[in-house]
Amino acid sequence: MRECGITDDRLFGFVDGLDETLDEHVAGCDECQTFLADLWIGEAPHDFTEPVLRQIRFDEFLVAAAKLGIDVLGAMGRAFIELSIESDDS
Amino acid sequence: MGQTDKRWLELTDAELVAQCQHDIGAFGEIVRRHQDFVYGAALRVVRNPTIAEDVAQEAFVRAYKALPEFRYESQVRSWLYRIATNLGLNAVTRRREFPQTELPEFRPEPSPERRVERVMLREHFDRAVQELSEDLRTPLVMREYEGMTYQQIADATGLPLNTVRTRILRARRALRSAMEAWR
Repeated sequence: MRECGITDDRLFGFVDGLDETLDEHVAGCDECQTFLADLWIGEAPHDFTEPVLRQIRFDEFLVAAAKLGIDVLGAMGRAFIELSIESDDS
Repeated sequence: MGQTDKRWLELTDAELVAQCQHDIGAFGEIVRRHQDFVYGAALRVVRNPTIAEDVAQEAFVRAYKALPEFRYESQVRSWLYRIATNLGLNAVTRRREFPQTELPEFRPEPSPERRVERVMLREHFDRAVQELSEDLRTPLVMREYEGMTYQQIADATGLPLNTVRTRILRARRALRSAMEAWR
């Protein structure tokens, strides 16, 4: 029995989807999470590390590219306005 | 398991979060450390291995983007749990609203270095398994080597389902200690 009072059987029921009342408790209980972490060892079907890092890098690239695109458009706009003013002056 | 930078191994989760600002590799260690847990949490909600993979992966990506909002008084594991569970619930809702046909799974081939690493890990793992007591080893071998479900193991051994789970849990804890020494 854990200090929080939740038994192994209740946690097994929670894992099996038979006890949804534990949702909020488990989300905040380190003891129960430790039990589940042990229960779920080896459950991930493959290593997520590389796909996750690849996705993060790609997202960051898109953000940077979008910012660069805005900068380029802004610079083109400013150049266009300046050129227009200059041609009006002449 | 994937290759990992040795300098991250000694750090706590909170220290890794702090390091993420300078080096994305630190976040890789967070993923490596918690991926089974996050996948398990996702699978519990979505009840579909393929969707659980997507949810788990997305949970880590969302977590990385939300790192500036991470409050150091909370546990990284709890934080990941909430993100994965919420994403899982969203996926379940979406699936009800827009049912889809499942695509066949794609599994990338591991690199030669990764294969060697796995072989070495496996050898050490096998030795550690041999040192377990019989009552722990039998259900563990059925689960890890033969890929049986908890229920199949219970049927095969005549043990109650939760006894099987508890024994596998204890066996994994013993193995983890053995593998820690190797690492």
